[in-house]
Amino acid sequence: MSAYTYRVRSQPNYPSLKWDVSGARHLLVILDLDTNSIAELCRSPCPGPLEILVRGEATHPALIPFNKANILIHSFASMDTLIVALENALDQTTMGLRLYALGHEDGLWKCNKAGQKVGMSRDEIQLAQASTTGRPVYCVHCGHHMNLIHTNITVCTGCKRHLLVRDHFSRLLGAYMGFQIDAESPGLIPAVEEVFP
Amino acid sequence: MSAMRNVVVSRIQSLAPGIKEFTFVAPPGEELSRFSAGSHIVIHSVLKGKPHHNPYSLLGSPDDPHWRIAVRRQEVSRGGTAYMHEELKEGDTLRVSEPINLFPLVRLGRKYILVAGGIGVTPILSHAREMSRLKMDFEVHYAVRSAEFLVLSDELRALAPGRFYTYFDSEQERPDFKQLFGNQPLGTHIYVCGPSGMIDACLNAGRAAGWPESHLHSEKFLAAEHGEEFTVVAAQSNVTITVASDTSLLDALEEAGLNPPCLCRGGACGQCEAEVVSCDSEFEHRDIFLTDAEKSSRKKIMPCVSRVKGGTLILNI
Amino acid sequence: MSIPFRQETFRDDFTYRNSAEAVRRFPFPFPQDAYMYSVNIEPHVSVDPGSVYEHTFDIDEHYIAECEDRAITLGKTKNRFLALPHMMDAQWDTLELLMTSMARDYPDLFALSRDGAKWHWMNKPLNIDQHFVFGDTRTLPYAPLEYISRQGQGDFILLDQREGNLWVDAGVVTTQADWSLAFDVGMSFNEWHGPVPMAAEIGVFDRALKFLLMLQHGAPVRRLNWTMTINPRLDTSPEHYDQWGPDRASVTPENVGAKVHLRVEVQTLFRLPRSNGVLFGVRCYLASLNDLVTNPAWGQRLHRVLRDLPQPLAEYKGLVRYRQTAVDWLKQFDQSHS
Repeated sequence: MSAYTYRVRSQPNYPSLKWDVSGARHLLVILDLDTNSIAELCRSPCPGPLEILVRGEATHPALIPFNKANILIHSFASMDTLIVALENALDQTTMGLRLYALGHEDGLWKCNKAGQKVGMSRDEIQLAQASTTGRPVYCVHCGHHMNLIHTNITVCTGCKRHLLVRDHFSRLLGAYMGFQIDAESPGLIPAVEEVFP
Repeated sequence: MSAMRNVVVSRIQSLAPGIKEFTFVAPPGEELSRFSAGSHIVIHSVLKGKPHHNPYSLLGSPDDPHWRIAVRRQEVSRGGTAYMHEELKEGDTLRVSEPINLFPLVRLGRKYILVAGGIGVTPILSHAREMSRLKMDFEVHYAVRSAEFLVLSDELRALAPGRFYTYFDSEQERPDFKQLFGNQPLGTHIYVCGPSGMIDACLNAGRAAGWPESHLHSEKFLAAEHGEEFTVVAAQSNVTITVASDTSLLDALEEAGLNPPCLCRGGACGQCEAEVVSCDSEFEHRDIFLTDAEKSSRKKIMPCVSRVKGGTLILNI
Repeated sequence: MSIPFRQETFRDDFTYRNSAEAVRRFPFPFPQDAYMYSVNIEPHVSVDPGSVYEHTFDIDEHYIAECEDRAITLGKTKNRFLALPHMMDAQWDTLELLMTSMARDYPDLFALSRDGAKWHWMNKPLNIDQHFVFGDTRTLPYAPLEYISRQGQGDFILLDQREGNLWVDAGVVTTQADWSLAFDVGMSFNEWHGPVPMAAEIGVFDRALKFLLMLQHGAPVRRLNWTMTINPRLDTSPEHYDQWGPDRASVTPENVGAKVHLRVEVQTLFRLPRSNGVLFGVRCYLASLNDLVTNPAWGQRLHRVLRDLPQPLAEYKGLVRYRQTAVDWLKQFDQSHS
């Protein structure tokens, strides 16, 4: 199981967010305030009614492009409260909505899961990575989930094994696979490097 | 070539003017397979020495030991429907394909809207049956020319009590697609089968209301319509064939002993896609498989439903 | 014809052995002296009486021992059977396909009688006598897929078809070549095969998917795949990599013939009639190098295939640590090699 020598096709790629003109209404979830991504998205006007859920202050300067009378911005202090609000919003709304999420990978796939829960398909949801490439990791040995892993090798907080973080990604779990790096030669741990800043 | 089997016609019943229902059973000692909602079979028949292959949706329950289809006699075009209406008798044996499903149920929806126009009710009935069994949230909208053409409605009404709506052209009634699409919860899927015009109106209303393609499902069986006589050259086999005006390109190839792969014979599955070497006339693409770009490239053709307007077509087969 | 079932293990003391007959019918997977991926799919029809291709689901001398090994794996680790909720009809389809095929092909071992939804299943080798109601999960001790997989050889994966793709939405996976159902469940066809090097670039998966989307009921297909395993271990799962990984470092010129096994998967694909899903059967056959070189043509060819295998494939299949040792040992069976 060597890693990073070729492209694994389960690894998501995250194109920049772009308004989907086939949608009738739009819901933007901002998990991490990223001025550049927001500015890029706002280069074209949103083609329909827009609502925004943001983790952080609604008054943050990155949100200035959205300071218009007809755009509703709801602000949340934590990921958990934001996801609950998202789930409620999706449960109540009707077909025609497009969901956009911007932020770190773990949060993106929580938003995706909220969409899947109400039967949304992949062509109704856009995800874009921002702020960090730190990875969510699933330990294939004990099933433990970890988040914001920045290094190629990490110690599982569940079973204490040294895990190599692979590129193989599960959208259902919202995580990359981690497997024991020294299984074939116990104790032989390669250098730990920060590869997901 | 798709898997084939024999069936015996056990019952023929008139449902409405020009519409008959046929029930098939397995020959003695055999069993018919179960099938999934939205499946069809292709019936092979020979009328006046000419082979015909027509797809028909299975409308019965997969738990029954028999298969049921309904056939509307088409005034022009497909000789197959004339054969079914005029030649076929109870007790006859037919050569048919095993079930094929190009209109399958997506099981992850939160709600389903079924829309039928005319004889397009047949796959809709099989979906309604499945959704009722699986206790899914669904409603049925069924449009016909006039009350006498409202076939199979008792079964539908029983499957969707209180959620079965009919529309009669004769009364200037038709489904209000704009309203239908306007207020459905996320996760709703629509399944529509009927005349081309109705399918297009339905899908366009869905798109206008912002529905994504993944939630819009339609089934349109295309007739291998007649056209002008033309010549086809199978370059690899070095065979030259005349395709008569009332024969499909695929049937002509098969009659000449060539057996290109094929499955649905309705321009949908893509199995019979053939590479064009050259063509000195105009294409008549009637399939729904090739993209518009592929169609205008003059490099591909689906022999089951498409043809050319005279002249010579050279295929790389 | 009755099969002499062996008492043997696929872990700990590894008492698994092939009889001469099992070696004779081993599905040796290389039609040429070199290996590369291809869409090597053919109709799954009965050919060559006595071969592994004679019956829809081959039952051989390892049947009872494999079922015992699966029961151990299912009991020890969670998530080796998984099924997303929308896969229940596909589970019943699979149970029906396996029961009807096994009872038809091995009437001395299995019997099925059906009275409407009331079914009676008898499995003589495993001493099972089960009355149940088809479609009613409460009448079986396990979910339908787990129930029948516990009585079958090889893994059974159920694919849902939607959005022009196939999705790995259920399975019983305990005899796998290093992939995790717990991790891969819910993936699309291409995501599932994501880690396989080189194949995607030459379009193998795109063509295979296009073909499988049109797979028809009554016309199943099969293909072969292969890798190598140290010791006759069925459960080489990522979950237990720490248990079997060290074996790879244990190969020496002295034990290579007995320890290194060619692991061949006879993969079968069936359209499931009622659910419109696809059953993907992965049946694993193991033969040691010692077994294989009893056939001179196999010894010669395996030497050449292993020697010339592209490095990315050797890495992906986990052969790097012992490939040279195996090639050196196999060389003696390739006299004409230059």
